[in-house]
Formats: sequence, structure tokens, C-alpha cells
Amino acid sequence: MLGYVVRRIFIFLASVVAASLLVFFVMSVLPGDPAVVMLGTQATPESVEALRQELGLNRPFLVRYFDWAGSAIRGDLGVSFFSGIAIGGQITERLKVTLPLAFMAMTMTILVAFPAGVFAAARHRKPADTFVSVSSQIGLAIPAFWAGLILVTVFAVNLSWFPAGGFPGWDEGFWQAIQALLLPAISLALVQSAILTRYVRSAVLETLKLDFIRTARAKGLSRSAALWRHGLRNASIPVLTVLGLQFAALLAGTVVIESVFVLPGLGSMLLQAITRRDLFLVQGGTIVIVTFILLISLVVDIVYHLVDPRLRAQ
Amino acid sequence: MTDTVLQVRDLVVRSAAGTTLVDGISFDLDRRTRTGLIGESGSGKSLTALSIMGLLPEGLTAEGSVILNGRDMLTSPEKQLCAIRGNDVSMVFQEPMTALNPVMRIGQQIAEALRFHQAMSRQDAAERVVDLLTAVRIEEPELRARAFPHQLSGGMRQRAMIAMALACGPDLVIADEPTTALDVTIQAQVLDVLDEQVENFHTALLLITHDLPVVARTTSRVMVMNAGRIVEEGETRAVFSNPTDVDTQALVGSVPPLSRSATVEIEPRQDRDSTEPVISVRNVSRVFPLPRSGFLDERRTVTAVDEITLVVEKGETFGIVGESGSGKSTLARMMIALDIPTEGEIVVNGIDIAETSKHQPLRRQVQMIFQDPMGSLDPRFKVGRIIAEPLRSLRIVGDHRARVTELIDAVELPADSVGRYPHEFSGGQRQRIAIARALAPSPDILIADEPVSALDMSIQTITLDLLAHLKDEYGLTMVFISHDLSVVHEICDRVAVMQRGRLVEEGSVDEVFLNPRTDYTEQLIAAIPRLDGT
Amino acid sequence: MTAPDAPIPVDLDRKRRRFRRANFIIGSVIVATVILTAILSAFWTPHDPAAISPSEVFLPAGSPGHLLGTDQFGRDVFSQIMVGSQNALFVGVLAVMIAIVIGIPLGGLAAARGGWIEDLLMRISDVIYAFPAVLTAILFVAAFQPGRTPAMVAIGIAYIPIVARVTRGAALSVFQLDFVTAARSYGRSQNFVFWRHVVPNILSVLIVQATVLFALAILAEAALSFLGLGTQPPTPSWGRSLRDAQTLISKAPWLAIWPGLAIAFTVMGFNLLGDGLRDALDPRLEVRNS
Repeated sequence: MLGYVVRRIFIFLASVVAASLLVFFVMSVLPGDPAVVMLGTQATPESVEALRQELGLNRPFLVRYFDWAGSAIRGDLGVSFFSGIAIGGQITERLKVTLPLAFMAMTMTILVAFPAGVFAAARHRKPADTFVSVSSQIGLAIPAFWAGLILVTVFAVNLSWFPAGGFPGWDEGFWQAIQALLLPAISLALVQSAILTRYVRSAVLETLKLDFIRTARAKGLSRSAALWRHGLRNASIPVLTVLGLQFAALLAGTVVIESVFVLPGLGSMLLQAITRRDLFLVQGGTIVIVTFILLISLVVDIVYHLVDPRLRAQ
Repeated sequence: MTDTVLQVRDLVVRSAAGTTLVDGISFDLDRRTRTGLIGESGSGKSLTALSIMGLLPEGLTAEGSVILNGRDMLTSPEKQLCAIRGNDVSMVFQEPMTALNPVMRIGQQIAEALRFHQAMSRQDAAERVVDLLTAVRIEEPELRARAFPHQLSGGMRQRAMIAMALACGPDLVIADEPTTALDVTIQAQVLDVLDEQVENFHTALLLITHDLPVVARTTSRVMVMNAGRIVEEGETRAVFSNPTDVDTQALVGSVPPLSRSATVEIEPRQDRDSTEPVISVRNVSRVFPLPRSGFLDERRTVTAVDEITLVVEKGETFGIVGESGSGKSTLARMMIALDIPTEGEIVVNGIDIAETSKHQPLRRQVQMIFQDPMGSLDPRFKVGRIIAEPLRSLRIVGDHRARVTELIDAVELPADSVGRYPHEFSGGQRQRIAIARALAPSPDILIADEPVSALDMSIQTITLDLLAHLKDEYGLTMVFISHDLSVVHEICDRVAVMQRGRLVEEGSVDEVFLNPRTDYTEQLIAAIPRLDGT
Repeated sequence: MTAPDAPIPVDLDRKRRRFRRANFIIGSVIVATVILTAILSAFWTPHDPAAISPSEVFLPAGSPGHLLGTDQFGRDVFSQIMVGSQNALFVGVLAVMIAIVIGIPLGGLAAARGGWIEDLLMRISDVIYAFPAVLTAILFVAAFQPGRTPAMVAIGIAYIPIVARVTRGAALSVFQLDFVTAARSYGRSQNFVFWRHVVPNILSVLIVQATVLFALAILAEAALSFLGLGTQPPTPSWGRSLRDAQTLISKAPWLAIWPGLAIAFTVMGFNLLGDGLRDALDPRLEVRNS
């Protein structure tokens, strides 16, 4: 088990390095000349050259990369070209909005999807199952940002139950902050819970087809007892891996939702950075998100190995 | 308490589409008796068992009456059925690996039955579990009770299932193909345990299987099912020595000589003359690296084939016999040059298979027939194309169409088969198609890897006859691999016995089977269940 | 284990069959509608979607001549929605093609070679997978200009790992089958075996996956256009219509409804089609044990 954990952590680190190389490559090599991108096409050749010198862009690729990566490990992701503020600090501030939002959405998703999926599987081929299937098909198809738009219009603008946007910050009051995140979280959770419900339902249905369920019934367990005591235990294992993927999707989703609700999170930072052509900011923000996603994947893999006794014995 | 545990009257089971799967059967089971229910697949025997448990799969309907200890299992409310299942009647299933919950400990699964039916405390149940595991001869029962299914061997898992079935002292235990998935030596162990404990717990036993000798060994009465009906029943010995029904006769007739009796002498065969070797295996080993578990661990390996030396002579049928994990399939893959030995040398028809660049001729000269008739034909290709594939691939000149027609004829399939798809054919027919394909490039050597193991008994005989006939007609050399000793004895000239990658014994079929020299071979032969119960 | 010696009757539950067919029918109808709309809108729409009409601004839905109303410039919403379908389908097709053209060989190679090649390919795939479509698009758009092409390419690349993994999984199980070994034994090359034996047998899985990805691509493009990073004006896009609608939400809230509905409708159609296809294409898997 320990051997596996060590190996997996090594893979995580290698993946982060590979991802950072990719990000750096896209930002520094693909656009041709980052200085031109940052200054705009109207810039004079002299100012471009000056910027190149200043940023050390004339050095070879790998040198630049190691410079950036080396500082990044120590928490220094460079300085925003536009504002001059340290990127690391900016990102940390923004994370205080994005991460709680993602967690809230994840919690809501799980709270809805697990019961709904199990319920639907238990009442397979009955009207209740059809209802859940149809609802989840609809939920899947709705763009999260559209749901957000509609929710904002109905609940915030018209009914004024919630703020229409913006984030008061955690210092102003815990509940105020949560309130500001509620509608955005619901918008995200709407879609994700539809996806997860379908997944849970199918995982449970697949498990119910397996032989040991029949053995449980042969021992005298009723259908529901067999489902609860044997089925769920097994079905939850593959569902675990999906949870990890869902969290990654949620993080990506926050980027869009923050735009609808004007939340000062990581996503809106990235969007602003694009408009301002602040390549370093985009670089830093992206790699942080990717690292988070890889981290979640690492945690899920290890938990999966812990939970499934067939894998634990290694 | 009457003597009758189970009374089945006019049981009919139909599928959702209306097909009749069980066609009106009736029988009684008395207390403490052992009855066998024999039939090939599709005969309806498993459905009968599930009807007795009240566990028919959704979509199937049942009529008639199935009365267990006074209760009708077909009409009683579910709640009552739950109280009966596991308590008055229980079942042992075929595949212990899938029949047990892989993420729950064995002890817990056995205790579940106890705590549910007898309201035992956790403590008492745990003690009882240890008693049960001891009764089924599982060593270190306290330790094993905390194990997960994948940590036990196949035989142990099945014995644990038996323990679970007997836990609440039921009046009837139904065992559905309980040993079919096990090696023959393990099978003997498990049957012994089943025997013992059924006696111990005073239960009645209904043993369902397609394997006649297994029934002969364990039961006193037998019923034979075919196409949903009971076609014959009576005392086991009597039915097997003098079957009256045509289908039963076919079944009994398909049992190979070695499986008929342990005491009656088998005629020794005439030794064939020695001929030159076509396959020469010298000190061959094949070692596989295992995926690394830890990061810094050394690479672990498994030795599938361990220094084997043997020779296959031209024109003979050479058998390779072994239980699972013996390495016989790995050896077969090397003989057909799809894999290279880690050590040693294999020369086939004069070509050293290690020289991959010189392989090409072997692709025509050596052909293989596989075990699974479902998986050995590409479901997307028509039969004619499947058979012609080797001809196309090897760029063999000549009229392919004519050759395919010739082959279809040789394997005794109708001529219009060439335009149809594999799924339109039965298992036995698909094996014939596979044989036709193998014969297409006119090979010299045929390697048959468990070619009949997945087929029904009566079809096995027909297919083996066909193989033997074709081998003679085309003058082939055949390597026949199987775990089934009696089949190997029936059709091979010489045989090699493998265990865990090593060659244990080798010689003519008479030498090895009738006068085994090693303990392992003796064990193997002794473990074979016999039709006369010896 | 014995195999039955008669051809196995495919015995699906009648109710199940009906339900599955419903998915397929509804899905196909929706998808066909969208495709036809896209084709039709290339030749005809009720009004010119770009035609500005200052006298008819902000007409609500149901107004004469404007089924779904008009926007802030008096442009007909219905025509805009119709033309928007072209963009959605275009992006879907290209993104999925990128994902398939790279993902299938990737997954196939991993399954065929195994060993360290498989490990490496799958790890690379996992790294790419850590970049959600939106994020990759942001990266590309930052490096280049906002536009439909970088968005499409980004989405396609983001889906490569999904296709690779599905291909690898399905191919692996086919590689285990004996007819593959048989083909190798009479001389067929790895290449031939993969393309002529394995791929046809995993086609149904891939087709289903492709329809699902199509739906996801449309959603992703809508999101990107909503952010201003995707399809740029003047090309009509449902996502961008929503972006415009957002600023006008107080004046004309209905403008936010129609593009969203169009997206949801199309996405649901593809999802249902995928569901229906999954069940329609693999009846041979339903075998009843006796």
C-alpha cells in the first residue's frame, strides 16, 4: 500500500511538471512573441525589444522555464504585468472565493445525486425511475451559466431573496458570504447533480446484476436489504472515481459562473487577465487550477485503493 | 414432520416472450436424501432450482406448485419467502468468486445468515462462523473469517459458500454446478466436504450439474432433464448402467472410458510406431514480469513454464494435461510461435521459433483451435470470410471459394453457412467453423487448446470424433491441451502432465494414466469422479 | 462452464425495449431537426438575422412577423436562433473530429502495445485531462486571439483523453478475444488486426461516445462564447446571444430564454440519441442464462 502511495505521489509530481511545461509552452512559444501579445500589435519595435529584455524573453526556453518553475515552487509566481501585484498573492485571495464555491456545489451535488440515483435504481422501470431519468436528461442539457442567468433574474432581481452578484468577502460575515455563493453554487450543482445521478443510478443497477446480490437474496435478504447491505458498498467504489472528475468539472465551471454572478474568484481573474493580455497572470492562474485538479485525482486514487480491499492488499 | 421436504407439481416456467423453458415437471425430495438433477445447458435445471428458491429472474413466469415444508414458494408473500430462504432451503452457486461479495469479509457474509434468521448476537455469530469454517475443513478459521474472498483459493471459497448455505441448518441444500469451475483435485475435496456436512447437518441435497460422474459419486437418486422435461429418473447406479431414455443414453454414452470406473480395467491401447519429431521443446522456460506494486520494490516475476523438455512426433495426437496455472496454454502459444521462450529452444518443423524473421512459413504450417466458441470468431465477419481469412492473409493461391466449400463440407455444416454470421450458430457449430478455418491453409500441425471444454457433453463427443477423423484424413499432427484427463485419455496417443509450469510426467497414454509414476499424476487420476461411483 | 448448443434467443423485456426506443426516436428527431434547421437557415430565414430595424426594437415573443421577438437592434430573434444552429453543429463536428482522430489511435496503440507505452500514453492523457475544456480554451485564447478556431481546437484537445481512455478500454477487451489471437496466428499484422478486427467491434462504443462529446462540445462552445472567448461577431452564436442578453436582462428578460432553450434542446437531443444508440447497437449482449 505504501509502495503504491509513493509511486502515485511521484506520478502526481511528474504530471504537475508536465502540465507546467505545457502551460509555459503555450504561453511563451505558441503566440510567437509574448511581448507583442502583451503590448498589442500597435506597439513599436523598440518598445517590444525593451520589454523582451526586461522580461528576459531572449533567453532560451528551458532557462526561462526553470526560472519560472523554480520560483513557482517557492510560491513566487511572478508579478502581474498589468497591475504589478504579486501573482501568488492575487491567486490566494481569489481562491478564497472559488474553492468554497466549488465545495458548496460539490456538497449540494452529492446530497442530491446519491439519494436520487439510489432511489431511481431501487425503483427501476417504475414511474419513479422514469421521472428521475427524464429530469436528469433535462438537467444535463442545461448550460450552467444559463441556469445562473435565470436564477439571478428570478430570485435576485425580481424576488430579491439573494444578492444579484458580487461578493462581500469573508470578513463581513460568514452567512453573508455564503448567501452570495448560494445561487452560483446551485447553478453549478444543477448540472453536475444530473450527471452524478445518472452515474450513481447506473452504478447501482450494474451492481444489482452481479452474482453476489443473488447470493444475498438466497440467504433470505429482501430486495432492499440486499441493495443496502451489499449493493451500495460495491457501487460506491466506482462512484468515488467519478467524484474526483466531478470536482474538476466544477472547478472549470466556476470560471464561467463567476462571470454571471460577478464573483471575484480565480475564473474572473483569468478572464480579466486575457482582456488585459497579462500572460503571466494567465500562466500562474492556470497552473494553480491544473495542480488542484491533479491533486484531487491523486487523493481519489489513494482513497480508492484504501477502500477497495482487492487493491489494498498490495 | 413428514418425510417429504419438497413437493414439485407441474412446474412450468415461461420467458417473457412466451417460450417454455421448464415444461411441467413434478418430483418429490425426501428428508436427508441426495438427489442429482442432470441436464445439458438449456435443459431448464437451473431454472428449476431458482423456482424452488422463489428467485426466478424478472420477466420469467412460473406456474404449478413448489411446496417446501408446507409452503408454496411460488405463491407465498415475499416476506415469508425471505424467512424461508437461507433458513429452510439454501443454495450453493457455481462461481464462488462472483457469488461472494468481494468487499465484505467472509465471516461477515456467513454471519449475516445467522444473525438474520436466528437473531444471534455478533459474538455468538462469530463463534458459530468459526465452527462452520472448521467443519468445511478450512484451516485457521479465525484468520480466514476476516479474509476477503479474493484472498482465498477457489476451493476455499466454495467451501465457505457451503458453510454459508449450511449455517442455519436448512432442510434442503441446492448445489448448482458447485464444482464445475474448479480443478479436478479441488473438486474432489469440495465434494468430500459437501458429502460430509450434508450428512452432519441432516439436510437433503439437490445436486445440479451436467457432469454425470460427479452425480454418481454423491447421490443415490438422479433425475435427467432435457428441454424442460424430466425424461428419466431412478436410482443413480441403475440409471447410469442401464439408461432407458434416448437422451440419457446419449449422455451416458458420451462419458469417456477413464471416467467410467476406477476398478474396471481399461483395455491398453496398441502403441503406435515412433516417428520423427515435428515439435521439439528443449529446456524451455517462460518468465513473465509482474507489474510493480511499490516504487522501489524489485520486479517480481511469475514463471509460467519451467524448464520443459518434450517432443511431439509426426502424426501423433499429443496431449498436454494440467490444472489451472499449470502453464499449458503458455506453452501452446509458444508452439504456435506467438510467444518466445525466455530460455531454451522450441523447434517446429525445423524452424527455431526464436528467430522471428523466419517465422512466416510457420503461420501456414501450424494452426490453432481455441476454447471459447463465442470468442474465437469475429462476430462482424461472415462465416465464409472467416474460413477464407487464413488463405487471404497467407496469400495462398487457388480458388478460395472452392476451398471454403470443401471445408464446410468436411466439418459437416450445411453449405449455406458461408453466408451467415457466427451468432446464428450454436456453440458446437461454431467450433466446427473454427476447425474449418484452422484447416484452410492445409497445416501440418494442429494445436487444440481446450477445444471442447466449453461445449455440452454430447456435443463434446461429436466434436472430438470429427477432430479425430479430420486428423486422420489430412494426416495431421495434433497437440491436444486440456484439463480433462479422461478426454485426453480417450483421444491422445502420448501425454505430458504439467503442474505449475513443470513437466511432471510424460509417456504413452496407457503408461501415464493406467500406471502413473508420480504422486501428482496419481492424485489427479484418483480425483476423477467415476460413473459407477468408485 | 458449458455453452448452450442452440442459438441464443435474444429476449429483451418488452417494456425496456420500448423505453430505449423512445430515447432513440426522440433523440433522432431532435438532432434531425437541428441539422435541417442549420441547412435550411443557410438558404432561408424568416428575416435577415443581421437586419437592423430601429422601429422594431425589443418586441416581445408572439409579435406579428417575429415569432420570438426582436433584440435591441430590432433583429429577429427566431432567425438568429436558426442561424446559430450552424455554428453549434460546426463546432461540434470539428471538436469531436479532433478528439477522435487523435484519441482513437492513441487509445488503440496503448491497448495494443501495453507495457510502458501504455503507461506513458495514459499518463500523458491524464495530464491533458487535467485541463478542462474551458481552461484550455482560456490558455489558447490568451496566446492567440479570441475566436472560434482556438476555442474549437481547445475543446477538441480537451476531449482527446476521454476518447483515448474509452478506446483503450474497449480495445483491451476485444484484444483478449481469441479471434484476435487467431488472426495473428495466420499472419495478420498488428495494424490489420486493430483496424479490421478490433475497431469494427468497438465502433458502437465509439459512436455513442462521439454523440455524448458532441453534446458536451456544444455546451462548452456556448460557455466560451458567453465569456466572449469563443465565436466572435458577426458569426451568430447562441452562447454569445446569451452574453448580449445578460446586459439587457432588466429590459428584455425574454431574450435570455430562447438561445438557452436552443442549446438545451440540441444538447438533450444528442444525449438522447447517444443513449438510444447505446442500446440499439448492442443487442447481442443480452444473453439469458438458463
